[in-house]
Amino acid sequence: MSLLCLPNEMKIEILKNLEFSECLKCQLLSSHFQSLILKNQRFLRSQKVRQLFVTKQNIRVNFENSKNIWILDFDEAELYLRNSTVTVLWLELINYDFEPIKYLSSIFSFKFKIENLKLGSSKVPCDLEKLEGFMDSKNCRNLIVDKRFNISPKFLKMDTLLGLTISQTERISISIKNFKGTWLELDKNDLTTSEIIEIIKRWKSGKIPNIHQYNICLNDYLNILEQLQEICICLEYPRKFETLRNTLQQNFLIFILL
Amino acid sequence: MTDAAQERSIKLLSSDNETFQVPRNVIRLSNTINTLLQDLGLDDEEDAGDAIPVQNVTSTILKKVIAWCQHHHEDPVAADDSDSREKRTDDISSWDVEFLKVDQGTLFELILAANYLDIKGLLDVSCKTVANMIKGKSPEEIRRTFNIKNDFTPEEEEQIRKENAWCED
Repeated sequence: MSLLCLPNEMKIEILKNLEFSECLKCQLLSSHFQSLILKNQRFLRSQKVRQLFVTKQNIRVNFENSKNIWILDFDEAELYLRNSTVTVLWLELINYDFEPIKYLSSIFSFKFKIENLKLGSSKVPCDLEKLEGFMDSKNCRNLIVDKRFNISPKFLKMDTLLGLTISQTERISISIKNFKGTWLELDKNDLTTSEIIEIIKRWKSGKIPNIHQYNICLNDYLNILEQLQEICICLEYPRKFETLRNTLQQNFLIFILL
Repeated sequence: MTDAAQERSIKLLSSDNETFQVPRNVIRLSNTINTLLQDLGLDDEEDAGDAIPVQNVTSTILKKVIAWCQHHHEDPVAADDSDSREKRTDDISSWDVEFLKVDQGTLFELILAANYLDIKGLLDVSCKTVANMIKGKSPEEIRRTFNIKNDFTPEEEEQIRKENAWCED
């Protein structure tokens, strides 16, 4: 009895336990193994991807176990990326007349997971409904939006996001009331004092759990500080702030950082 | 389940006509036997009657399969192992590692038996053991380990290496 005598179904069961690169290596064993792996690739383990950089021209890929950046044509994407886990998908579409998320969806219609979606640039405004749908379909709950990305001030319903980093330099009205995540960074924004106070109160009451980082650019910091004085300790000039909750004593501390 | 049902035994007949008496609780790990007993309406019978033929499994292998079930029949039921879940091969228990220190022929026979009897845990751990024999080896070493004949020309082999270079360090 040898490995070759096992039915193909059993050989696949064994190969399923191998990392993607080990599986590809097994293609070199013999023509039988090559054909078996090519025919059954969809059942085998997928490659992990550090970053996908998507432009109008192509997709640049940095695989986790590779030091190189590989260029994929759009029609090759499914072959290499189906079922993979992507740490960051980064989109740059600055000079093109495409709705950015429709463009992404047309390339990535197959199943894979995105941990962080970075929207770098776009000329055409982003369709928020499509963005939510795309993020849901890729199980993505962290969003990074660059100031060059064209997005409506009426931003996402935030209750499913774990993390948001947004650097719009101009006014942006974010429906922050529903945000329940642990990472929030906002650059210049039009959040009112009462909205910021609301975030802090919700956090203080435990509705926002385990904050790792809240980093919000304050527009009217003196006013905010004045209102916060009763419940916080101000340390320095308030350009950014990080909050920590002492869960034992339910005390409320704010460290305001330069 | 009643105490009586727990104490029940099932007879299994190997391909070389050896009969094994196995506690019902132990052989419950085999979905094939479970389905067969249910379909025949014998699962609640005190006496399941004649020995159930396990045609594809020799007595040597069936004995090992029963020993594996005997050791694992009280294990908690594992969560559903969907394809999306990360598979690991370094989580084999020390008992299983010792149990599977057998020659390759026996290991592959165990895989076939586990598949035929639909014993997921045994199939999983025996496949992992073979996968561990592949990991970290060069294609040439794997061929030697499993006695696989390389039927590629050097040019074909080079072509495959080039095609797969994108995922190498």
